[in-house]
Amino acid sequence: MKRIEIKNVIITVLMVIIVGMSIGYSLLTTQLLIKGNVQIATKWILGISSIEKVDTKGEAYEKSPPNHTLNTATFDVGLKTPSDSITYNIKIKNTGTINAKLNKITVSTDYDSSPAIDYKIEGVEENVTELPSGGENNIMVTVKWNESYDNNFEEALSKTVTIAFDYIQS
Amino acid sequence: MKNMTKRKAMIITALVLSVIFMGIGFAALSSSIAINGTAKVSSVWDVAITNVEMVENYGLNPEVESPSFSGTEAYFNLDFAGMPGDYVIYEITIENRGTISAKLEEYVTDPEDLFYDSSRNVLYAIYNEPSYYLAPGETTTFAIQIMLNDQLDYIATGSRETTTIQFNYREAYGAEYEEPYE
Repeated sequence: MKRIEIKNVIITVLMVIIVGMSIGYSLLTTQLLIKGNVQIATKWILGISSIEKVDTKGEAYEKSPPNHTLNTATFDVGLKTPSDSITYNIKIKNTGTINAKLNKITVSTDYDSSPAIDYKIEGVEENVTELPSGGENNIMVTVKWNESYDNNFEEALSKTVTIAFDYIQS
Repeated sequence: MKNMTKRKAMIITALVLSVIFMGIGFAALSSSIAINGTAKVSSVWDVAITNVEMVENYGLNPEVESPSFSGTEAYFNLDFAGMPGDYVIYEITIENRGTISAKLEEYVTDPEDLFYDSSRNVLYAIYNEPSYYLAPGETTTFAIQIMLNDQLDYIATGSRETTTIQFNYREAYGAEYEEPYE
């Protein structure tokens, strides 16, 4: 019985020694940690800042004043005779922190709209025009009665066009 | 009863062997102390981060707070609200304040490809990697650059990430310390 007790004591002592030596060994290594917490709070904000009529030719007139939101500009014009036209300057401003680039211009019209009314876009070019942070793009949109059509054509007399400017991060 | 006695004998044998092997391990570790001429019986193991400071900033300063450190940990907190290409560089100092030569065994990062993945929104680079060996009293300084990637087509604004760079130091054996720096 006494022998068993001695063995128990020996086992306990040896285990204490092993634990002690393990602690001693672990003290001779160190892990140094560099921890980082990074947030990206950059801002992607660009939109239409104004629309303004800059030129009128012939008897062209505004049926209603142009207006705009951040994403949409709207105008409504009347053309009385061939060659009449109105030109609008639409400003697009980048108030965010990321540089942008004009990726694509898409023009879509109603299928039954008048072929005598032309739309022309100037001042920007897809895949070329840059819009840096804080910068501005001036887009000139001209609506014109194509002079090759006279007053007597019998097709539709109005044309609704949607022009989409697709900007991406550059 | 006989079985139990046998088992205990086996446990004692195993424990004795463990103690012997660990003793041999310790003897190997303590050899550097003898070679370095350190006669102290009570050596001190103390490798720590002793300074972190921003040494360069390009663009809008993204620091939410100044970096902090406490011995084995350093911490920085950034919020990039400026433009892609903005960056900060932190200089970090590690010092061997103990009496035992130390070796940088490895450094690991989380995420694993922190320094190599160029598709990340935030790029990390390490300059002047820390010395592989640090004698008692020596310091080593290196730099970490954190930059908002300016080569991406798209940056996910509003995202947040946490990263860890871990430097594993251990006691340098005497012969190791004589090796030329890598």
